[in-house]
Order: sequence, then C-alpha cells, then structure tokens
Amino acid sequence: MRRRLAACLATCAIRFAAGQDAGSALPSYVGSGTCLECHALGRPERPCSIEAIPAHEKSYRALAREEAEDIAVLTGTVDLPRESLLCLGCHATSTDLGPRWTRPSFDITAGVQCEACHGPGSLHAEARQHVRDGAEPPPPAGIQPGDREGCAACHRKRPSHDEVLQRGWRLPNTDRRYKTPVNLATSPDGSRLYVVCEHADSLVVLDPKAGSIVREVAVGRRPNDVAVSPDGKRLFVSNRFSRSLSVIDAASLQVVHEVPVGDDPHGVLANPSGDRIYVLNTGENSISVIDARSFREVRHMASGNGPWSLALRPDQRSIAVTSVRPLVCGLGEPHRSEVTVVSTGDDLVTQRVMVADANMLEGVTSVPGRDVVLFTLMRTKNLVPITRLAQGWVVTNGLGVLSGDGRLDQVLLDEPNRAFPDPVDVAASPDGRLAAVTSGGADEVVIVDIEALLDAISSSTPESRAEILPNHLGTSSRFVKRRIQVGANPRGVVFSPDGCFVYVAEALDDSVAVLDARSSSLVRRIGLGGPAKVTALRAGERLFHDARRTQGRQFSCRSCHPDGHVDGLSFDIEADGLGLHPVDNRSLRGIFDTAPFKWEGTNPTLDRQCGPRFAVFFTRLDPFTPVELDALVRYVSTIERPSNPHRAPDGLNLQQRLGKAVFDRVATNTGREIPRVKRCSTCHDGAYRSAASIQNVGTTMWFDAPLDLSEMDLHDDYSYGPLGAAYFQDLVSIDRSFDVPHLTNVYSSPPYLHNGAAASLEEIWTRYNLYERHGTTHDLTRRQLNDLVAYLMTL
Amino acid sequence: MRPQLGASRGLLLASSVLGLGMQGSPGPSAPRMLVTLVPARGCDEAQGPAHDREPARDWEKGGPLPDGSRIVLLDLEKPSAGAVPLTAEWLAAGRADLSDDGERFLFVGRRGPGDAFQVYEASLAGGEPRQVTHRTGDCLEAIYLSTLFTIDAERPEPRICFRGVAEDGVSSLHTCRLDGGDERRITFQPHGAASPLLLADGRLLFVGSLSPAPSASTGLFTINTDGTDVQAFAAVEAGAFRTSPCETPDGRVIYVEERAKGTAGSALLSVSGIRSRRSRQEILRVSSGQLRDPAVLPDGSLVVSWRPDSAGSTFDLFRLDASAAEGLEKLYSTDAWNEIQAVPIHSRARRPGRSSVVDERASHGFLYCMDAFLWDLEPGQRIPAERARQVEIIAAGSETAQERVLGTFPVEQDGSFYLQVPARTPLRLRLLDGEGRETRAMTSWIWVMPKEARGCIGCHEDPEITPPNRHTQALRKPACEVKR
Repeated sequence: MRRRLAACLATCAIRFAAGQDAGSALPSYVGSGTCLECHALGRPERPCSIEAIPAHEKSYRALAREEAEDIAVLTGTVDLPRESLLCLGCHATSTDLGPRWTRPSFDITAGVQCEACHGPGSLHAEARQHVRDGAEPPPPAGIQPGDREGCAACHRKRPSHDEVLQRGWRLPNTDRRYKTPVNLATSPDGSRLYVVCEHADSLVVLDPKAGSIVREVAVGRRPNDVAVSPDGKRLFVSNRFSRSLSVIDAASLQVVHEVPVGDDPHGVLANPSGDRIYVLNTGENSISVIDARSFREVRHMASGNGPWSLALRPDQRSIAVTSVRPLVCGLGEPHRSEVTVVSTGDDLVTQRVMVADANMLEGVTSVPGRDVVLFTLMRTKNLVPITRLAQGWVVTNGLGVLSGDGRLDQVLLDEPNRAFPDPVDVAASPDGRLAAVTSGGADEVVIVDIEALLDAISSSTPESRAEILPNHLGTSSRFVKRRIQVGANPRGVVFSPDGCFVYVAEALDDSVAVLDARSSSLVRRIGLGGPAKVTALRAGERLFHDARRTQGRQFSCRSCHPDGHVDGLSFDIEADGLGLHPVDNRSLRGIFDTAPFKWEGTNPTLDRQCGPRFAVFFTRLDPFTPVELDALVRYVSTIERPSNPHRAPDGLNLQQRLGKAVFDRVATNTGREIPRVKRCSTCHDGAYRSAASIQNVGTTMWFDAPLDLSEMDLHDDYSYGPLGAAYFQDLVSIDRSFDVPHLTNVYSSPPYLHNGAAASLEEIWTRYNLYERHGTTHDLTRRQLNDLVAYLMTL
Repeated sequence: MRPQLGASRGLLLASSVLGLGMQGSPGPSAPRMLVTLVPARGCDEAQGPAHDREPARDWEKGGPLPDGSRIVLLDLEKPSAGAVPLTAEWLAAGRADLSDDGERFLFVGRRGPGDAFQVYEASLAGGEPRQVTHRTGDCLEAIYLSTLFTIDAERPEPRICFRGVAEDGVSSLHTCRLDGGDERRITFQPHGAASPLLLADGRLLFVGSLSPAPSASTGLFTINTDGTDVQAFAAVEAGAFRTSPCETPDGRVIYVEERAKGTAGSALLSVSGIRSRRSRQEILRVSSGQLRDPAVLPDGSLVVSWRPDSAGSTFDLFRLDASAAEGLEKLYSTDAWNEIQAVPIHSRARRPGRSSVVDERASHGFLYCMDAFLWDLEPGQRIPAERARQVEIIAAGSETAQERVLGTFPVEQDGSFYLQVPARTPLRLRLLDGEGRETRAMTSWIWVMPKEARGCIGCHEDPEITPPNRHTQALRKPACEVKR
C-alpha cells in the first residue's frame, strides 16, 4: 500500500513538474459498469468489499421527484435539479468535470457510482487492460483510496432537505405568481407603459391613461430592464438568468429575437439612431454593443465593477454607465466607484469617472436641456466603526451630478435623523425641471427641483463642493420639493413623455404608482395582476428591503446585499472591537445549506444570524418577531444563485481541468506528499466546496486577533504595515479560526479572505499565503496558479 | 370647584403655524383629558387640610407636587360633569402619562406625609392603581417607553422612564420594567434631567440643566432609551430656559422657552424633529405670565397651561387660537387650582423599541473621535495640529460638582483619538497643545453607557455633517484606558 501511494505521488509530481501533458493524459469517468468488470463480488481480481448501496443507485432519479424542485428553491438553485451542478454534485457522478470528461460507457443516471469516491477511472481501466493483454505494467493511474471520510462531503446536514422531506415545506403556488415590477419605460407617444416583472419573467404592457393591462409578454428568466427603440417599434428586455436580450415587436407584442449577451445583464439602452443596443453585463463587468439589425455583438468594453444602469447624455453623443460595486481597493482604503462614459459614435470608452467614497451607483438619467447627468449613490462608511445609527455614521444616500465638463458633485437626499435609504432609480422630467428619485428602503419618492439642486452646487465654494455637500444632511432641504409615500419597495421610475406623470414600479406590491408631477401627489395605482395575498416568503422579502426596521432608517438588508449578493466591501463591526476584525461582506445567494454563518462561524442557523445579535449590533430597533424572523429567513433561504457562466455545458475545459488537478493534488511538484490539512480539497469539499466548519487556515492578520497590542508600535509599517514582518499572526502568538467559505460562484464576489484583504483569487496565494499556512502552494508554477484560478471560477 | 369652560372655536393658529395638516378638519373637538390639579393655596377647603412639605411654588420648577394635588378626568364635551377626580385618596398625585392604547396611565403620587413619591399605574376603566416603583427617594415624573431588548434577554420588554431624585437633590432619568424591576439609570448630567418625552422615532427627549444654580439655563437633549448617544437636540444657549416638550403627529417638537435677559414673557416654540437645529419657529409669545405643558389634541390643535402675571392668578388651560386675546382661548379654569399637564386621551401608534449593546455588568465604554481638528464654530477653519496634541478628560464630581481631571491622552496626527472611559460618568473634554495649554473645551457634559462605543466626528462638529469614510490612526491601537 505504501509503495503504491509513493508511486502515485511520484506520478502526480512528474505530471505537474512537466507542466502537464495534454488532456488525454487526464482520466475520464467510465461508469460503475466498467469498474465492476473487475471488481464485482465473485470476480477473481480484487473484488470490491462494499455492496451496492440502493440509495446511491436511485440518487439521480430522486432529482425527478416533485420535492426536488422545492429543495432546489431552498438552495437558491435556478436550474432544474437534474441540471443543477449543486444537486448533481451529490446525486450523481462526474458532474465535477462534466460530460466532456466521460466515456461512452458512463451513464449519469446510475447515480452515485464507484468513481464518485475513487475519482475518474479511465486511465486505471486502461492500465488494467494492459495487464490483461500481457503488456508491461503501466504506471499506476491515480485511483483515489476513497476512504469513508469522503462520505461526509455529501452526507451532512442539509436544512433544505430537512425542510422539504421532513417538515413538508412546499413553495406555495401564490409565490410563483408574484410579478415584482422592477423597471419601466414608456412608448414615445406615452400611450403605453412597459413594465419589467422580474419574478414573473414577463413584460407587462399597460395603458397608463386607462390604468389597464394591455398584455403580458413572456420573456427570459429574471428580466431586469427594458428599452424602447427611438421609433417605438422595438422593445429590448435584458434577462439576467437567461443571459439574453429579448427583442419584442411593439406592435404585435411578440418576442421576435432572443439575443445571447453576457453574464447577469441589467441595464439596456438603444442609441438615438436605433442601430445599436447597449447591454450591461453586470456579472462580468462589461458592456456589449449589439447591432440592432443583425443582433450580433459588435463591441465589448470593460466597465466599472457591476455595471448597473445607463443613460444617454444630453448631447446624444455619449452614454453614462453606473456601477453598483466599487472598484476593488486595498484593505483600509476608501473605496470609489466608476461611472463609465462611452461614446456612441465609435463605441469607445472615453472616460472613467471616479466617484470617491461612493458605491451602489444605480439609477441614472440625463437632464433634458442641461448638460447634466444625475445618478443615485450610497456613501457606505465601511471604514468607520458601526457605533451609532445616527448622523449618517453607517451610510448616507444621495445623488451624483455629472456635468458635461466632467465636473462631478455629490449631494445627499437624507435628512438629519431620517435617511433616504436605498436610492435605486432616478428620472428627469422632459422639461428638465424636476427629478424623481425612489427610495426602495423607505417606500418613498422624492421630487427634486433640479434648478435648486444645481444652484446649491454652483453657489458653493470648491472646498464645500468637495467636503461639505457630499456629507451634509441638511442640504437636501434646499432642493427636495416633496417626499411622497408610495407602495412597497419602489424601484424603477420614469416620467411620462408629456411630463405630467411620474410612474413608479412598486416592486413588492405588484403595482405601478402614478404620481401627478405638478402636485407631487399620488393619483392612482395600477395593479399588475399579482396575488393580493402576502405570503410568508413575500413578507420576508419586504422585510429584507425595508430600512424602517433600522434606527433612523439607516439601511436595509438590501443596502449591503443588492440582488442578494455583495457590495464588495469589508466592514468594521462594533461587537468585536473598534478598528479590529474587519469582515468581508458575504453573498446571501443560496446560503441556506452553508452553515455555520458569520466569518467566525458562531451562528449555526440563519435564524440565529438574523435574530437577536442582528438587532443589537445592527438595526438597534426591536428584533424581528418570531413570525417576521421566520419570514425573513425563508426569503433569504430562497435568494437565487445564477448559474455559473464560466462553466460550459459540456464541462471543464482543459485549463480548468488542470486547475482541478491542482485543487485535488496530494503531492507537490517535487513529489513531496502534502499533509492532508494543507490540501485545498480537505477544507473545500463537497458540493459547496466547504467543510462547513471552522478552521484555522493561517490567514489571521494582526488586526484580526484579540491581542494585547498595547506594547506594540502599530504605526511601525515595517512590522505592521501591509505584509510587514508582523502582519500575519504567525509571528505574534494567538491565531483565530474562521468559517470555511463555500466556493459556489466564488468568481463573483471579490474581495476574498475573511477580511477582504485579497483583491483577487490570485492574491490569496501570491500575497496572503506567505507561510503556506493556507495550503501548500509555494511550488505552484504561474501556469498552475492560473489553472487553479480558472477552475475556481467554474465552481 | 366650578369649572369655566371656554367656547371651542378656531384652529387657525395651530394649524397654520404648526403645519399640522388639519386643513379640512370639521372643527376642533373637545376631547377627554387627564389634567393635574395643583392647589393654588396650601390647602383645599373642599378636600380638607393639605400637608405641604415643600415651598409652595417648588413644584413649578419640577419639584414634588404639593399636597392636595390630584389627577382629574375632564370631558370637555360634557362640561356639566366637571372634573372627575381619579386620585382622591392620594395625599398628592399628578403628572400623568397615557399608554399607547389609551387605556392606562402612569402617575406619580404619595399616599401619606412620610411617603416618597412613587410611580403608579392605573386603568382609566377604574380599579386600584398598581405601585410600580419602590424607591427611597422621590419619583417625580413617569412616562411609558416602548420596549428594550438586550442580547441576554428572552424577548423585548416594555419599560417606563421616571425621574428620580438623589439625596443631593439632583434629578436623573431612570428606566425600569412595568413591574418596577431591572432599574437602570440612563442620564448622568451633573445638574439634573427632567421632563422625559418619548419621540415617535423611539428616542427620548429630555430637559437638562446646564449648571447647578437653581436659575440655571436648561436645554433639550436626546438619548436612546438605553442611555446611549446623548446629544443636544436644539442648540444649547446660556440664558435660555427650555421646558415642557411635546411632539406633534407630524414630528415637530413644541416646547416653552423663557429667557433670562432680553425678550420678556414666555414663548411656545417649535422645531422639526428631523432638523431640530435649523427649523425653529415661534408659535406663540405671551407678553406676560408663564406658559407650560403644551399638548396636542387629537384634532391637531394645541392645549397649553398659562398663568398671567396678575396677582392671585393660577395656571388655566387654553387652546391656541389666533383670533383670541393673546392667541389663547380659555378651555378650563378654576380659582382654587392650577390646571397643568393636560394629557388628551386617545390611542397612538406604538413607538419603536430599542435593541441595546449596553451591558450593565461592564464598567467602561469607549469614546472615539475621528478628527479633533474639526471645529464648526469658525467656518472653514480647522484647529492646527500643533494646537491639539492632547485631549484632557474631566469628570464631574458626584456631589459637590467639583471637576476631576482623569488624565491626558495623545491625539494622533490625523486628529483621531480612542479612549476607554469609565461608564455612567459625566465627562467633558479639553483639547490641549503640546505645552498643556487649552485650545478648546467642551462646556456641556457627555457620558457613555457600559460597552457603548460613542463616536464623534470632531470636537464640535456641525451636527448635520456626517463622518468621512476614513480609517483613522487611533483605531490602529487599542483604546487608551482612562481610569476613574
């Protein structure tokens, strides 16, 4: 046994040292039928001592059961269970590599097979064939021992399964019928109002004058934005989960094209001549330019981090694009976000405007008649300890004002003691006098007097524009005309072409509010046909978006988790000491089965995570009641995780496959065995690539630990500066353990590590693994590291 | 006693000045209300001899109510019914506060001459009042709070707030459960705190004295109901006496202001709860006499107690009416009694409770200042770094009000400092240069509660400015420990 292991390690080492051979040298799955040719009980050659486990054989078929879909809902899975990598990860064999890495003898419907534990066996089978044929014995072919410890990767507590199979939870039909309008647009003549309904995967066409529904048009999965061609004949709807653009004929209201675009598309816009469509690929930080005749991408440009919405500038020659997340910056540095300016003539990025100290740049509009663009923003104080929920200590909310000369100003829409949380969209009236801004967290719309706003800016000194206006809670009284209460979670907002009305998408009321622009009052609400009943799930979704549950309306859950994801920031939470223990924000997508929660891993359930401590250290108001907490947890449990665009339908490509070999390796390039605790796959195992436990992986830095620092000169950058001699806890004394994060969709949530110190996946090993306490990686070649990252991007 | 009920007319002043949104109201209603009656003289012939133990007018400044004081129920729609006494068997009782559901009320009272004033709760439907507090000293005011939740509690618990008087005569605010248990002191101003008012957003507004002198100026402050985050609500001014705050349904705070010099008389002022420093409006000014205890009626109009300067006059109840003399329309008056602290009876929305980081077992909290060089009293100016090298921490004395210097600590190069300070201790700070000379000094007092981390942007920042997103140098070190 020992000799066999040594030989195996040597093989691995040789392979890695040679920089890997072609894909043909990597094993594929052959299926249990092939294995049993030699290993079946009663066979003369090394019969398998384990009898077939019926549940393993049925595991794939179990995914066709009705309950599987409900379990998938609770895991945030957007695919059918039989197509979900997460489900297949435990219910089938080979999905870690994909169909490309299977042989014809392999049958996925056979469920959990021999190779699920022993790894793909094609090389092994071929080697045995050589032996049978009497040829020279080939080198051992890397079959994994498959000890029982590996069983735990799948056989562990799954709250999603318990909820459905033991407690009988089913997604109520009512929850399938909600509309959730998120964005809207009008036809050029104002006779139609097009409303994107995220939950219903549809575009609802309204007659705003009559207040009636004209038709509901099915589009792709999770639509987000709609644009109208200048002549009004075509409608373009971005579909986040389908990664597509639905092209709709406005006359027949039929989808006439489905155009593939990039990952997680949000904003969409047609240019003035109607020959180009701009689509923001939020998940991959890029802008696609689509030819409106051929519907082919003709240009692809890099945007800011998480491009969100876009507007044609008043000169009609360029487009301003907002970014929901800040650019990744160093630990402890103030963040900044990008407004990307793209020329419509040659489709080139002409300017990257940096918006200091701001994030969540979402809605954007140009102001007719003025060379000004307005966009919503938040100013999240992630470097300031969360000590007070007053005076804008946690987050402030406002508008960015980008002038044609490139001048950028920021103003707040908050008031002292009353925030304007989660500003998500802004629209300007056709005469350029008014702007309407929605607050998703307070169910409010503010009407801004644009003249007064610009006057407040122009009458301020340069110093005041730089330091006071972006930070002053009293300024909004100079230009906010009215604050109007609307329905639950207003998002998209648009003026009617004649400027008489403001239409507001009330996302969690399934309705559109119609406001009279002159009187700034609510005229009527147009229902979109969703259920009147508010289910527990819907109630939880409302709580998630409601900042009024926080002292001073400072923030909602959504303020840090747009689309249930991350804002890309690390925070200094009060509970563990000021200035110490910054923690990276973590995605909420598909987290129900990923306990423990918090980086310290001290919360075993989401109920605990969202319960008393959340009230004491975050919201500071009454904790959620048990009924509310159930509803909130239910909603959080169902936040969807988009399928991974880096993984092709046929599975891993060669580079990714090589990266997986690095991930799974048990020996260094020189053949030295890697201790079990230093292997990637030890902690990052199972379908979620997480041991679901707390581990000490040596990434603790001096500001992470509860040490007596009183005798240390922490201003000594040589020792305590970034990567200084005492930067890592190794050189001090104590160490801390952290929850092993799951790696599903890890590509989408930089920065990395518990404190967000690593700006990219690469930095985890190139900067923050100085002492190899976070796995044995120092021997990896640059190519191997790139392979590893390529593989991680597919998880 | 024979009540004199004025005609119910006109809302013009209240609705126009306060912007209470009552346009279209059919007219003022005349609701039921709880009123505290204080005997105009030392005793009430109708009720027998009183047992005054305090100077006759000490109650006007917040002292104990004189014997014979009582709470009555007034129904202004049934004037013939007169005032129905609710606390007749008490030697002295008054200062009622109504529960959110409008069915119960708190009051302070004492039954016998040797008793201290305690807090009681009674039902408007009748029945024996329930004693809430059992303190050795007097409880002189009490109001309902919302709930308080702490990390080790099973659930949020409803609480009340009361003003207790220490042996040295200084008042402070305390909270406790409705059964009187788990008492916590929440204000530590060395010169006293009074008139608690729970605002619609769940903060507690109170009147704080700025010096130990009996004639000391008073200002309005807010805290959370766990005692954290004490802040001046309206600008603190020497020579201004601000008392009797109440809140309108649209979030304005109305209070009485008198000044030691300059403008004579008494004024009702209003500020927005949102922008309390920049929204001051005068609602009513009386050229003579004294206003007190404004309250908002269900129809949005204001009722207030007013006593002219004329000899022998008493506090009577008035409704604000622009068309009436002095802008006041008399609602209720008696010769033998002062009618004060009208509490209209109606239900109101529950105010949000608080979840608290305060750990009563701890003895310290934290003070964190981001930029001590920031100073708003000289626009555009910052204190030069060389003039702010150190910060001196001064504690108020407990009985003699003599100040004690607790220590001097470095200010970092970026103006930040971070201190671990004794909790529940009134503190003020002085900025010193490298030679120990004073550059700036706080004149008011702050405190931190146990485990509270109190953050400040600057040493005297504009209260409407928000902190910049900066990681300061002070937070790269552990907090400097300030010993008691």
